[in-house]
Amino acid sequence: MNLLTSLKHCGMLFAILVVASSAIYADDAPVALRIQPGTIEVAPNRYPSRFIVSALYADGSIADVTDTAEFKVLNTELGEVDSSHRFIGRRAGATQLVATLGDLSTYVDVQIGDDKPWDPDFGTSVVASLTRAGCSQGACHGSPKGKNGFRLSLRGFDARLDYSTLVQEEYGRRLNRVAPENSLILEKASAKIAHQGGKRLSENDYAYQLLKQWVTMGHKDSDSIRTVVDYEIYPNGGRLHKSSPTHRMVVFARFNDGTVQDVTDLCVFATGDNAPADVSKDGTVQFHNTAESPVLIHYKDQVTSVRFTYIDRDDEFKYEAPNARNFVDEQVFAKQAELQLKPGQIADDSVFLRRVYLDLTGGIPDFETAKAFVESDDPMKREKLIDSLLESTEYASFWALKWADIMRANRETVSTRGVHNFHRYLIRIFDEDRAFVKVAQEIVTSKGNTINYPEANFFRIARNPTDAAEAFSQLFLGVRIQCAKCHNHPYEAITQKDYYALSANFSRMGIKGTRFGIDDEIVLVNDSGDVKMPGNDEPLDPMAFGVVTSTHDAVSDHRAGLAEWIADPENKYFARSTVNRIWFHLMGQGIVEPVDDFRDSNPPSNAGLLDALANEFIESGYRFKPVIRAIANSSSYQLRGDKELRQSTAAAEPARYFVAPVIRLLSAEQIIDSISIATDIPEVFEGYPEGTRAIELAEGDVPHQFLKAFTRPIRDVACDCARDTEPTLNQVLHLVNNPDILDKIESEESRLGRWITAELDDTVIVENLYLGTLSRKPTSSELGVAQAYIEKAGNRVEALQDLQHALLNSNEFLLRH
Amino acid sequence: MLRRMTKCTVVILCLIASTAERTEAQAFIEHIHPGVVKRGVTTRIQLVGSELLTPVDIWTSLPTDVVHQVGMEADGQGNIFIDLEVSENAPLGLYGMRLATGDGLSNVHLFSIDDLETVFEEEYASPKEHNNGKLQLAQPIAYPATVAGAIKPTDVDYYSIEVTKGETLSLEVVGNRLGKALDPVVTILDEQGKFVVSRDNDVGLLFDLRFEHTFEKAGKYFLRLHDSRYVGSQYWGYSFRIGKFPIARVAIPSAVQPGASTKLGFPQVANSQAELALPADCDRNTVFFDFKREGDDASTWLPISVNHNKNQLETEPNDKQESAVVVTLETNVHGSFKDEQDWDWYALELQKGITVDLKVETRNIGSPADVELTIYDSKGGVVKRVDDVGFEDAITSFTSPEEGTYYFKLREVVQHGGEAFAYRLEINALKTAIKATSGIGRIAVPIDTWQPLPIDIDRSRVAGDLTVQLLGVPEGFRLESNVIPAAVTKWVGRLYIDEGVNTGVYAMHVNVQQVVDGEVKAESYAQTQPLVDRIPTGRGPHGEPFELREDQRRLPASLKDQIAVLVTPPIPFDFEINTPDVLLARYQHAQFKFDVMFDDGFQQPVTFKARGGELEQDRLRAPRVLAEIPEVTQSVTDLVGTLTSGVGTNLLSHRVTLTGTTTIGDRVINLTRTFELKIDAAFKPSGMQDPVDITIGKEMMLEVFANRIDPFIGEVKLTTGDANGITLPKDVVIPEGIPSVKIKAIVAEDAPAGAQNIALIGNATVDKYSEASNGYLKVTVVEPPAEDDAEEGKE
Repeated sequence: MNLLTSLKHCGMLFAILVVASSAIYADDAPVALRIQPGTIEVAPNRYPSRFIVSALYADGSIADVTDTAEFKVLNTELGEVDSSHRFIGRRAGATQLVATLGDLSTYVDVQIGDDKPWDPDFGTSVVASLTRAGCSQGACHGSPKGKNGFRLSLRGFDARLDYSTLVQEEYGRRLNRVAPENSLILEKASAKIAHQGGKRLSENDYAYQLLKQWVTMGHKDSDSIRTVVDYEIYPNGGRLHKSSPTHRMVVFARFNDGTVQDVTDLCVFATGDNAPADVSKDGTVQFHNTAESPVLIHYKDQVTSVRFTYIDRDDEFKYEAPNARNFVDEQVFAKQAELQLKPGQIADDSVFLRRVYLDLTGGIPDFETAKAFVESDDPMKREKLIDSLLESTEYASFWALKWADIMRANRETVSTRGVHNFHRYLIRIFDEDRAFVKVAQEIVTSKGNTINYPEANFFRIARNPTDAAEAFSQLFLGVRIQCAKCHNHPYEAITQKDYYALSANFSRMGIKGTRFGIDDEIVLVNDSGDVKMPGNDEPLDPMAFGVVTSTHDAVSDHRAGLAEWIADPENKYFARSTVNRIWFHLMGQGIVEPVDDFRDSNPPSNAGLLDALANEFIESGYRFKPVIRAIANSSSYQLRGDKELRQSTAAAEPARYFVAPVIRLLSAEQIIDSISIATDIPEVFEGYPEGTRAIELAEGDVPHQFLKAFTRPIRDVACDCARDTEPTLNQVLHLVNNPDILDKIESEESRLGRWITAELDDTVIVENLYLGTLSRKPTSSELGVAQAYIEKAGNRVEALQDLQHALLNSNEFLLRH
Repeated sequence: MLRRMTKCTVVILCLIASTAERTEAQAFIEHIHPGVVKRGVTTRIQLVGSELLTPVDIWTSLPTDVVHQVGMEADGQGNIFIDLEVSENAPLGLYGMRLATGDGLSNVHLFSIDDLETVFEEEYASPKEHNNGKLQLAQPIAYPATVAGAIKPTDVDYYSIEVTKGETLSLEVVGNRLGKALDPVVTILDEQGKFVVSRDNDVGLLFDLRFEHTFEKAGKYFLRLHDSRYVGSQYWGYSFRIGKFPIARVAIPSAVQPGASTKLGFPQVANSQAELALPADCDRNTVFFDFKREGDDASTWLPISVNHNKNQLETEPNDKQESAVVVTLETNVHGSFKDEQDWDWYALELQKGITVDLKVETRNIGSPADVELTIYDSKGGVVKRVDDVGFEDAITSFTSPEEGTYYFKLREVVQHGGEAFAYRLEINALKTAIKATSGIGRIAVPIDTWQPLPIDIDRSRVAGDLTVQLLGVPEGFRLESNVIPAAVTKWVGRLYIDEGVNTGVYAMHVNVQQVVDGEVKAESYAQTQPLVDRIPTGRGPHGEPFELREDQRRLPASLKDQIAVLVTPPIPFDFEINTPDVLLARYQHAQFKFDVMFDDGFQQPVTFKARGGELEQDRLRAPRVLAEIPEVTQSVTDLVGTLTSGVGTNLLSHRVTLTGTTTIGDRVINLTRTFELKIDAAFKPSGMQDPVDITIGKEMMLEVFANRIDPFIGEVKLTTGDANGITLPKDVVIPEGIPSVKIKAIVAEDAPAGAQNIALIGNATVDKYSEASNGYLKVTVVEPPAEDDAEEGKE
């Protein structure tokens, strides 16, 4: 066995070790070395080629040792490693590069090609270099009007425009072939002459060299459109070893002409807003503490991402958690343990009771229910309660409300009749726990008169192919594609083609208008209709994020293909985005947050959990109740808000990892309904039957001051963000002074009024008030304070009403905790 | 089984005097309770509304031997109680009812005839004692029965029933079809209040519903009924039918021939057939068919069209042109779209130049299908494609350009399908046709005078005069002229009631015919669109202070093809308008003359009100033409009414009704006459009527006219438009009081010969408003006489 063969065997051994030891923290000593890419390809006397050397550890983590490894080129006549640890080819041929770190070694093949003149491709190199330099960003020359008469396409999405601008516009004065370094584009970019955007390039920069070489070679346009088919990113994410919170990356692009090019120096790297890690211009990611972070790699107008994790290992950390009751806990606790986070303890019965009532039915339990539950010693009472609440009519109304909020059905879009019709349709979905994939398919392929087919109201709201695509994507896939209408998404891997190809699924959808001369409309499918990209006359085949769902010349309704794709097991969007919404509504925070903003730069906080929930959703027939049941029965859901919970200094920031319940203000409907339940006096909503709860209102824009004050949405946006969660003075004033609420408290018909009439003892009434309002009995201290207040007050009835009012204004009542 | 509608029978009653305070407003029925009556029995119904204080009789759209009142009481509070006797053989369905009062006829209100027992919603009958607004307070119902109730705002009505295991019940709400905006939803809940099933909006029933449900378990169930939007009114009545009856909504075939017996199938009801035979002289376009199976508690009524075409049922497969079903002219083709991809093809052989009328019916036969009709020629070229026409299905005609086979492809545009997605394709050869409509559905005429009877005519391939006949009324009903001249599309006849005619209510058919050589070539019964309900929004389409209900275009046929006439006792005054056509200049005033004749000794004043067009309030705007008409207390001729045009008056022509009103005791008498009002700009600039010849290279004085309408006399400023080779003064003033001025025209040497219309852009201040009106100066540029001619001329 020669040296190289033994090194390769080492690599295999490493793989075995990783598998065998994935559960143990075997640290300190790396078990193997790795050079990436697997083969270095370079041309003689060109810009050097990058590579990465990583030390591999038994726990699967990696460390960047490129700077500390020693290198040996077996045939030094062919090339060498420079001081920046890049390979420079000198002469055509093949050799190997060997890296050594302590006792570990590895190697890669190196291919040095023929010495040909460097002739950069315009579309994939020159444009990319301008993007890298920031010239084509939206704030500079990439703005719709450009800057100072020089306009580039945003992040280089239109190479044709850019070529024309650079070469033909202004009589070609931007380029100087005789003296390329005197080209205006280079003099401006290097700030040799005044440039409002400052110095963007240095002469040593790869981008500068590339631009200069392109001018030198005759500033040719690309012979054909060269597109990226794949990226090779090294390392392709991973967990960084404790010793190495920093790791550099190299990026290779594989093009449709079969070539592979090191584009690291043509990329822009970013980690997103508020990310726990930084990334340098040359692609070196750096963590500051235990965290997970995506790294976005922009090449031209395209975006891809990798994800790194860094664990600042705390040897003292010992993970402790309540019993894992199901797969939800397994995933949640595993992530917490990995990030050295500790969850809280299980909440008591009262907290659980109130929480699960509010989350599943939108209101608090009434006095009798609270008393019975708190006093019950049935060990299965939580499971039984969850099951019973899922079968309640309030559950269907409350969860229909969540979807009604974002479906944008309002009087203006679908008429009053349509709003009610559509609302009843949504309630039936949740009451029957219909397979949500069938519901989505039904809505997406809906047609007919909206009077008879309420699901078709979707298309009265999203009335053209692009609107329908945007709404469909946001509601059912959790992806906001609006940006890509005008250009490739500037920050995400969503292209303009994605946008219009998704729209093409709806290209034949039509709206015929009223058939009864009233507020009905007919949604139908036309025989023809295509969607084209702006500036392109070729009809697009309908697609869903790269998956062809139909062909533009197919006779059938294109939407049918999209409907099939929704249920495709390979579809990673639908189930994940749906369970993410469910999780959000129960846990107060999405695994992806915001819930309708799935994107590379906004990855899930717990991808394993998201996948597990999605699998459960799919396996249970895309039904909500099994997923809700699993979450609500998990210890993760039933945690208490523990003020004393302390995390390790080496722990990740806990906010996104569900170590404690998210405490949040109840929604407008939850508050007003809970007040009605606590007092047992129903609220009156104009235009609705007596006894209607706020969660049952079909319309968003209901004339009700309290609901308006607490920002009940009027349903004109497809986003859960329409509810303002920040408290306002107006809300406080309503809670304190709203005459309707005061009337409820003071009514002789109220629960309190009836207790007073029944001449119950003060202690009993106080205890009952606590149970009926906060779902718990008062502490002895609270009981004492209340009794003292009643005794001190001149009017017993008013004192008890004051107590009720105070409880209704307490944080404990107003917050979901 | 359908009974033929016989001609109406006269009801003679004396006026019932009342001492209550009177207003000019006419009687208006808001509500009939119950809105359903059972056939074969007498039912006491209550009419609720306004101005119902002097009831005389009722009028229904059924013959009086089928439905008539046998007792009538007024409680002095505006409520009328009527004992309505419905014959045993009365046809089920929806019909109209009006109340005749001493002042005239009320609006029409709809009611249904049913074969189920009627029970009342207790909450409606005694709201203080009963409330069925909650599940716990549900009113028990012993079915089969029809529950007569009402839906108030935010109202929810709960009923409870006891069923046996596996029992199938049919449920139907007749609510929206009673002419109100009610959109009922019915939900069945189990004993624990859990949802079982819900129903809303069944095609063919407007917003009403009809369905059946099989109960899996025996026991108590709740029926919840509410408006889909929780809106309502104390006047929104409903009939909630509960029992076992067919849930059919569409019949195939959907048309029958008079004098023939036709077997009908019902896609919504498996294995069911029925037979319908109409008398040969049935003259209705649509009838209700009572459908009841053996063992049913009650019937269901379905609309069936009546025409003389032969029926042909679709035969599958006919999904392709090659498999098209061959049809002939004068045929009703009855088919359905079996599934979403079903296309139906038909082939028709035609000689060159044959015009074919095609009509597809779906919604009027209770079908949900929405049909697009495409006509292809024998080479596959599209001749025509037609979808909805107004609120109707596909209606079109085409003329075959050459001999050959023509194909009709019917497609369900939404691509839905099923046995119930039925259609009827009527294929007819070119026919002359008349469509007569009347803007009135009721009219009160005092004996020995007349009231205007407006008829609008839409002719299709009909030229020449038309004759008008009044049918179903006794002698003494006559039109002063029964000829509608060839050029007239909006005709106003004079309906005279001669002495000897008894006072009372009558149902009158107005028949319009084209008779050539003694043969009727085309005829039509005047159709009306009577007002059932009103919504007081002030945004009526023609400025009315109310809007018509949204679905009033779907009134029962029996109601639309007859006009209710109330013959009242003679009145002590009459009047005639002496100015049949009035020209009113915008921002000016115009006068019309009329004579009023009083009986000796009659001292009451007559007041006049003019209505129509610009005299009406329009979408909350005040009327733009105001009428001042003197009150009259004695016979006088050459009375003058004045019309004044205000700001924003539109330039148009329309009919004005002038109603004279007086009282005799408590009786309010209205008598109406009409005249045509044309509103135009106060001036209309022009040149000479005929083009003036002007010669190339010459100068000439041309006269331009202001063409003012009285009483406008003001200055008119003109700006001349561009002329080709003619120089004219740009600005011209026609001074106040001067009808015309002359202007110099200089014709260039190179001016082209030929006619030119030179624009005259006119402006003037009319009253205090700026008015614009344009016209033309018509000239013809002519070559100068030839040299030789000139020379000859010298000689």
